[in-house]
Amino acid sequence: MSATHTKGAGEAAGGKAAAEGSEFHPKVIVFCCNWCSYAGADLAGVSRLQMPYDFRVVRVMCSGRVDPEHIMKAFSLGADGVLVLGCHPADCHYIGGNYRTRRRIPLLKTMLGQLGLDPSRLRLEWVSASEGERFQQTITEFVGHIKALGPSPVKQVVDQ
Amino acid sequence: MKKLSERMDAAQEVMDGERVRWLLGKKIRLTHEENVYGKQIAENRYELILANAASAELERKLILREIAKQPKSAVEVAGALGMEPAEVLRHFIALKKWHLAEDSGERDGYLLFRAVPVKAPAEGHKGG
Repeated sequence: MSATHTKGAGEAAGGKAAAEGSEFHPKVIVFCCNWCSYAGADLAGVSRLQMPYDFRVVRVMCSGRVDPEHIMKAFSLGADGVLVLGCHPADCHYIGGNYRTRRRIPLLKTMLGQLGLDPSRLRLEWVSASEGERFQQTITEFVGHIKALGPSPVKQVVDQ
Repeated sequence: MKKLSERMDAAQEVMDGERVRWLLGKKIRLTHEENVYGKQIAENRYELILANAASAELERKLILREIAKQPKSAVEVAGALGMEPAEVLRHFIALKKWHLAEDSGERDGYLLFRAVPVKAPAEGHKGG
């Protein structure tokens, strides 16, 4: 599958809007698996690690529970970025849920590209329960990336 | 920009659709096991098939949306969606095959197509 991350016409307009505004606070949806990533997020919180607050966590029992439809719906309702966090390969509590997710994400990225959204607005990462620092780094880096991209072109339609 | 939200809705339908889900679910079987002819699909070929299927499905969902309200010809739909009329016609043939679209007369020498209304599931049926 093509790994090219091209910006659509809508993306360029979104970036311009961000540059004109004061400060852009993106709406990032983070799907966290209950057994690893959510515990990692908890550890990051307990460890008082600093990170941007522009994200909303959705706890799911497994990253495999995150249906492609959920991700598309998040984008169509105005999410600027979607991050799916699951257990490391071979560590899934349900044996192979994260493998299913790994299969779906490239297709979703292709689909986002076809819709004119930057495919890098969607990302899949593995974070275990002991990786609070990795959770913090992932969130910081991803939110920074979304801020650089600007608001989602879909968001402008939703806001109207 | 309204088009983008419509395309997002169509993409949601694609992801919820049988064809893409089937292909995603069969990845291991298709790429790691031999088929009845003793052949195996290479990973990159599988990904190409999947991407093409998703792309075709997205176009078909958009076409169905166009012809849901009133019958339209391939040329009219192609003009509205920015596609080639021949490509739209190819999709119409596939949609007719799957009973998702049907003929609806003709206008100015062009065949008109309309979407077959999807039957709502019977009330009270919970499955299982």
